[in-house]
Amino acid sequence: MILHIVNPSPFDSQALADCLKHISEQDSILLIENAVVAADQSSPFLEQLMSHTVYVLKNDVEARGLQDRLHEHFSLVSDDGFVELTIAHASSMSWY
Amino acid sequence: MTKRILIICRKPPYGSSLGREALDIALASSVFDQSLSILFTGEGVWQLHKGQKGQQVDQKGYDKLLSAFPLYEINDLYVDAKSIEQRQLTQDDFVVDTQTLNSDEVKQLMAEHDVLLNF
Repeated sequence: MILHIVNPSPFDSQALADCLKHISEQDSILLIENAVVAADQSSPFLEQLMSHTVYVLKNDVEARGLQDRLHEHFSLVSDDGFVELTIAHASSMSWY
Repeated sequence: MTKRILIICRKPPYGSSLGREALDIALASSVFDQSLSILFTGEGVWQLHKGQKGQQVDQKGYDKLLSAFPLYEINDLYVDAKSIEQRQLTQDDFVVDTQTLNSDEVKQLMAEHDVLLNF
């Protein structure tokens, strides 16, 4: 079980597309920094993200004022939650 | 217990230093007898391409570095089947022997390793 940590905006980089290409069903995704826009209501990636457990880093969402625009499928996590997620998964992989 | 390391190369050569740094990590790890595999996927497969002339852009060729891998006993090199198919590449176009993996095999490879370094 892998935690995939995605960092750049999907409109800026192939990182999220590559991640979605290689991810296994039981893996989870954590969107951080500019990648949080992938969870916005306007995002073309919503449907693909829905088939996985997806977490979004709260500070990065709030910094961009997106807190009321995220689909309920996505769980917000704090920085402490981020640490807990890395512990809960067998390994983690950064996509940037 | 030795951790199994998987290096994933997703970036094309020469445009940035990321691909080069990934390969440097591979060489350094092998010197310390780490268990290491490398996966080339997406644009990263161009790193393997034969006939590179890195000196034209004042850089060392990726091909030369990669052809040294067998000497360092780095033999577990994998490529993503779809990525090479999309780019009309075959094993014959590569400077080192690699194993082609389909999408499920790539997922399996990632699950089998303890440390995943993504470039």
